[in-house]
Amino acid sequence: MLAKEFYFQNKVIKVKHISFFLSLIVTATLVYILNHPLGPAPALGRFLSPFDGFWQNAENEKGFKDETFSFPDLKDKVSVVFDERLVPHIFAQNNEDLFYMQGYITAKYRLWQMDIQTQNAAGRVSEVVGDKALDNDRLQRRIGLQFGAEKAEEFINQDPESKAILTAYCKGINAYIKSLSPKDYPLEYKLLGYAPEEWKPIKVALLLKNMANMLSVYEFDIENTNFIQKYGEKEFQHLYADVDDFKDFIIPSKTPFDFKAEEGFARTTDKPIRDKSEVITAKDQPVYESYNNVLKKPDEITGSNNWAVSGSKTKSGKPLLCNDPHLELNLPSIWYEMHLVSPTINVYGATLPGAPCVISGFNDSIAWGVTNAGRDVRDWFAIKFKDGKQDEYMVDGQWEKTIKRVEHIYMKNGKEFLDTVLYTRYGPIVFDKTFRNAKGKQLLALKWTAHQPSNEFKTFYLMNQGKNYDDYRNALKNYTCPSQNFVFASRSNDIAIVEQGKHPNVSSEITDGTNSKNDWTAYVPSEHNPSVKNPERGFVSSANQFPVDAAYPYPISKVGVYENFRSIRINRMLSDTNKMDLGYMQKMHSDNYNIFAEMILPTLLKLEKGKETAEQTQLLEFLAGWNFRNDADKKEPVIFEEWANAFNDLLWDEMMDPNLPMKRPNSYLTANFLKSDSTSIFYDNLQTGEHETRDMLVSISFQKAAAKLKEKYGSFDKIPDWGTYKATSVMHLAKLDPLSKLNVYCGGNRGIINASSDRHGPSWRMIVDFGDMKGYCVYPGGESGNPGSKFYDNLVEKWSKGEYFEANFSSDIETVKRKALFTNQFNNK
Amino acid sequence: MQLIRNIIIIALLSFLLQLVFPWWIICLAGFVVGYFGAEKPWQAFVAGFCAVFLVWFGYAFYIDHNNNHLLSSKIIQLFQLPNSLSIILISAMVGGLACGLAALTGRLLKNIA
Repeated sequence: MLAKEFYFQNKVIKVKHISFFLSLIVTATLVYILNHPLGPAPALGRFLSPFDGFWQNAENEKGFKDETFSFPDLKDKVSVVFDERLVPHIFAQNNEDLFYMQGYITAKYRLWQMDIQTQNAAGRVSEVVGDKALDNDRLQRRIGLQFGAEKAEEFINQDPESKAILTAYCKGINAYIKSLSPKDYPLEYKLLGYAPEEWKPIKVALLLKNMANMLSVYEFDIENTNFIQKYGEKEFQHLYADVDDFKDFIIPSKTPFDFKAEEGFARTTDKPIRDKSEVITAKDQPVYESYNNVLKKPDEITGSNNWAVSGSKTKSGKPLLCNDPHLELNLPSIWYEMHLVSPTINVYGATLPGAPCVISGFNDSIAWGVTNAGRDVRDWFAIKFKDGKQDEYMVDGQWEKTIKRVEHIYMKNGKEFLDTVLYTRYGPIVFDKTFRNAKGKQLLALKWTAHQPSNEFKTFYLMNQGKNYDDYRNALKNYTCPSQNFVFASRSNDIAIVEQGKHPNVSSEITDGTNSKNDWTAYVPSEHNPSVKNPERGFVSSANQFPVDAAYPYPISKVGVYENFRSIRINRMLSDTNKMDLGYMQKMHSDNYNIFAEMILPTLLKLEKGKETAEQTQLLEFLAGWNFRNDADKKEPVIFEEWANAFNDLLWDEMMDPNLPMKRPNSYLTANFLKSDSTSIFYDNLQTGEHETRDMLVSISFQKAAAKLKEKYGSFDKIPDWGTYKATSVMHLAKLDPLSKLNVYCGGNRGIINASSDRHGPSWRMIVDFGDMKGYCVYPGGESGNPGSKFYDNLVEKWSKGEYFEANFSSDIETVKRKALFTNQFNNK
Repeated sequence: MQLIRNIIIIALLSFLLQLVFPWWIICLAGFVVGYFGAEKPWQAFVAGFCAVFLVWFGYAFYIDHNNNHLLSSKIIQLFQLPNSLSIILISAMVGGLACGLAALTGRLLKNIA
């Protein structure tokens, strides 16, 4: 038997006391641990409880039923019909109620995504994941996204109608957030251990700035300056701007322009700024290390396709319109499909969760869609400071004061990081000695149209209600950034396209900030933006190509990422027949023809005269028989891709120096370069002692590609097909594999109409047929943002096969209800 | 018999309390019943553990069944577990352990009260 008590320092200690306290301590410790996150793992007690943990996000697959709610915020009754795909059809009696409910329903299905995207734009991810996001957060703030969003919000509020819609939309989102208890939070909040916060109107502005940061970053001023300092002006023109025989501009060649450029635009083509400048070192005194900080940009443009065909070229005699914006493929999807109905609106299409209205869509009179224009809308101004304190900088011989904006960045553990960002009249100094260790004699200030007051969302509000061409042009006037090609078609048989945005007289190199004359002095008036209505050829199209021929009165820098391949293919297919219909449009969206291969492969094969093994000769013969289609079940695209990549890396090795960023010419420029220049200095590889020629480089790159394939797959017979090799992935926004859809089997690639590459692709496919006034859409995701819902990724498979859903588009609620899964009724009392 | 009675009481009590309060409320249910109802300390632990184990297992199993294992099959990949049943069992054991220890503590408090 154990003793029941013992003595300690002359006091009686009973075992039963010790047992109780031990048990209490163990229990309390366990509960504490289970209620707090362990490293990256969530608080296990909370997370695993079926009453409030992740289990609550596992939706009952059959649990959909009609419900009625009481919403005193509403002015009138609102009905929301959810169809078999969970697409909401909102029927409201007035526009404020309509946008209130758009906010409420969007939040109900996409809250976490909206929240994290705006937190990212605002540079607040550290609050969620801790200091591993600090560098990202500092960058987001230092490029001025929050700064721009504040200006946009102020500007939107000056327009009473916009303000009313925006307020209603945010109220709807907040009504949903307020209705939540922790057990109802979306899964990601539970995984990461935080809670949703109030949705302020600035978040809508942040979302638009986030789009600007995704799509209007194609400026290479620093890279170009580096290149010119190292290789000179002549090589620069030769590599990036030499005119080739490209004809498929957005605005058909020889379209007359009945206006002249505004004053101030000569500057762009004028080069003397650099040579006269004391702050930008001229060619004969290079200081390359000054410009080694650049913002990361995609090599090739984040692209899209759109086109509209006039009734003269269709079977029905009425127009057809198509759009497929190519973006990073993510879950939850960047788009949320919706149908909005009020007495003045009946619109259907893709909405951006977190912003009101439909972005790419149609109503019963018009349809529109967008592609990225990729125009240069940023400049870097070299700043000359008075002294190390950086309180003053020189403009026109006078000292001007910098403004210090202190950014408060909070960590997950509550700690605060203060970041002081210097603002000049041009904009913020992004890189300095406190951030990414920018050294050198002068720092650079970023000027960007995304910093300016704007109200892009009014464009979509007006477009959603548009009836005709004039309404479309009127809506576009409000649109600033990121520049987009808006394609248009109407029931009354008009088609048109406008490259819309606010386009300043930018420079394509670093600009001297000590002279105010170098500042942006003029903007292209909205009505002077490249546009065309009902062209003779009977169609309009855009696919991120260079917009206009030389007849356009305004200069446009060619140094960018204009991607011409898809436009060539699209225009070819649109010219091919005058009997177009829905089926032909679908065929075009899924077209896998590779113009890059058509342009470059015959040249590569002709020049390849190396000493191949018998096996390699077979491989080349196999490749020579290819029909240039990147179909999922073909092996040739794998071999071509490896060869083209190896060739590209060897050719442009000069531009891989991490200490001297330069822009690699894109695939289109490369294809032209290979054909037209046989002796360039760039064929020489810097890594070898030998002097390589073009022919040698072609052979070496083939050997490299063949060796890589052999090493990876053992033998050439085992090379996988293109769909398997490419492994298109639709990734969860937090990059969690189990919540993603990996290895989606499909054809296509960048540079191909079906632009599905490994991580990018058609994020929304839409076809509008005015013949029978029907819309067809599909996107690689699902209506619900909840990984525990069967509607989370249920559309991906159909998308990968190039199939569509017909939009249930009627202003009559009873018609829509016929295909309803369930209906939510919202009463205003 | 008393053990079974205690299991049923804790199960019912914790179920109802969890509809309103956070998960840790199960400890209160275990503690109270452990204090007033249990004969021996080990019986208090067993009653608390079994009660919440059963409730959490049953509820999680029900949710998982209605969800056709859709979410559990993703969560097990995050936690590198073999199958949906394993995450149900782990959930139930975590809840059971917390409540069992609370019930034991309640019973041991009675010893000194």
